[in-house]
Amino acid sequence: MKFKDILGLSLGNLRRRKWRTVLTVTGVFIGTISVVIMLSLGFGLKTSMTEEMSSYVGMNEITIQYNGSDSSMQITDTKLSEFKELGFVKKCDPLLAAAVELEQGKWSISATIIGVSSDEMAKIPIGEGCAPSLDGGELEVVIGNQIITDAYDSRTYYYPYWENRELADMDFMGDIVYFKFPSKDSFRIDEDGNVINTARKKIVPIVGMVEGDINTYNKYSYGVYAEVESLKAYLKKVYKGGAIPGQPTDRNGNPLNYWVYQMVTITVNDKEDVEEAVAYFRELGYQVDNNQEWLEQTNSILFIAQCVLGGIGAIALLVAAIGITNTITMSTYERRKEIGIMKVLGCDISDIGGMFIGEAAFIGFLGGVVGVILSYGISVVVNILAGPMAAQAIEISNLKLSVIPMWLPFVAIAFSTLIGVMAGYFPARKATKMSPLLAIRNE
Amino acid sequence: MEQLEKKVVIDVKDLYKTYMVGDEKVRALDGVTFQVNEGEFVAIVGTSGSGKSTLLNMMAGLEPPTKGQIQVAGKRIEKMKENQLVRLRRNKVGFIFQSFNLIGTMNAEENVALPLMFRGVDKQVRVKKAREMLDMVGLTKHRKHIPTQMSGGQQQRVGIARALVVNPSIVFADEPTGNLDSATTEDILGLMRRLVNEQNKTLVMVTHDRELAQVADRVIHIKDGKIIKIDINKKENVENEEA
Repeated sequence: MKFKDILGLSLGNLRRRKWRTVLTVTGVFIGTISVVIMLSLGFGLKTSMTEEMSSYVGMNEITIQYNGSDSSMQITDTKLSEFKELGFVKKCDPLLAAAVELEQGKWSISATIIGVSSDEMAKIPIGEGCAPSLDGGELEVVIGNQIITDAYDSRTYYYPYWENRELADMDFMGDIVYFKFPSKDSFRIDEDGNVINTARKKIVPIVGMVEGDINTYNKYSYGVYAEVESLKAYLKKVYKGGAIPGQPTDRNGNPLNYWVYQMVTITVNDKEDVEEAVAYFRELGYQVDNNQEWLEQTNSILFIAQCVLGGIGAIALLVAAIGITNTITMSTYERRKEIGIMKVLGCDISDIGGMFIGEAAFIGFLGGVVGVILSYGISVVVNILAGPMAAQAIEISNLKLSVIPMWLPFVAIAFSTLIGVMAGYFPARKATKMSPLLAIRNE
Repeated sequence: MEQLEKKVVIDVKDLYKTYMVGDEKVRALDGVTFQVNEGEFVAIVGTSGSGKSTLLNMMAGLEPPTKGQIQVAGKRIEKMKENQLVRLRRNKVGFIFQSFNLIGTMNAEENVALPLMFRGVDKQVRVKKAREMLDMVGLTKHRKHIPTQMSGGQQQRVGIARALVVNPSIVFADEPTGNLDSATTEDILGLMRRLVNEQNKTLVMVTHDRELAQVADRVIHIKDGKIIKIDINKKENVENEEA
């Protein structure tokens, strides 16, 4: 028998029992939707996280820090030139952090001035204002767009944003902001028990602000950025040759004549070198962070999450499969006589089986197609309704909660068709075993 | 000319069929032996429970014998697997049912074309063939009617057309007029007789009615699973052969 004809018989039979077909297909498309949507949530999370990660650091960058007490391990300029000698290292961008208190009127913000290389500085997206001049002259800074959320009243320790979602009325760009650099004994308590702040109070020009509004997070949103060499020069001047907090001193507390960086971003020549570089610095005893590793870990967690979500969806599909089996079984019993006639008239047994499997497969296929179409709609709705809420909950900007990859609809339809074939297999086999004598018997 | 050996198309030897009904053994067929020649119209006559239907079912390969041999169209079928039997029926055998057994959702033309579909014949070809068959049985105007729109006699004509559409060497008919009134019965039997004569078909018909059996060339009487008598009504054929 021709495949086309078997298919024709299957479709004819489904059309004969329209209502039952519709109900069974409904079961399948609900199952398909649940699988597709559940998986799409996993993909959405994965896509958002991956995008978020690559916006942090390039994939061929690693950062290393030293948190131990061995001074020979500290990241100094000497160390940096050693690192640069390594074959896989393309460049090293040191990072120097200095604690600072920003002050304007009654408001204060505890912040960190981060000195970065001019390469790094160029990566910071500037919204209002401009980037600091990199001519090594006077210190200029760029301020993070969300840093204002950390503002507090210096007398009452009231944080308006965190407590009441209100913004402190500070103006970074238009008004003077005082930078208070702490010293070892910034806070001294005098004889009367009053706290005296002896921090060095300076005015540093804020020339620009990181791009984005109060709700747009990026990795620069909470920092104060300066070019590292200017920052070094400025700190020396501020502390007048005395000890700089966070920088090395000798036993007597006198400053040593070199700088220790809190962190260095090492760019390797190639993505493939990341693994080697990570292993190398870890071996030396540094704390090494890189995106790729993090991404792999995240992915494996997300994979498990996706399996669980997909599994939940699959239960609905399993129920639908049972529905198909039921429908086809009913159909074979109703058509026992017809099967008998077909056998007497010389229809191949495999064609009879094929006819029922064809019915089941078509139910699966139709359910898959309808399910996929509806899934796209549901995905859009989910993203519109639940997306912003979820984005806030896990602090990822531009979160798309539900993402349906290009291949998913095709796989989903193929899978639901396969489910149909499997669900139809046993009833179809039973049908082929029915006796042709049923055709002869007269009811 | 009379010496010319006719080709044997059905050869049944020592056929037994035993059913178990509860603990009791029932012999539906108790050693049946006969042959059917090519172009012959044979009627098997017996009362209900005589074993005639069992015999027909076995010749058509619808149920296996307990013992004995059946040769159909030169092939031994008693040991065949179901798919081999199906293939044999598809290629060599037509079948006419008592209750017509047309597919209710298909019109006359589609019903007649069905066995050709099972053979994998192209749609245009099989429709053309089905129309020829319907013309032959006098249902040209009823091509597009579904079974419920036709009388019993018309349905059985469709059934006959369906049995003959594959040009089978043997046609089995199981009480083909059992559900028809007497006028229509005559009509249908006449049609079957005509087709046997015109197309040189071998036809084996089972019936309980001795009168009806007289239309056949040979009548095999069966009782309690045994052949008790074989009548030969050679008149017409003899006339034909002498002519």
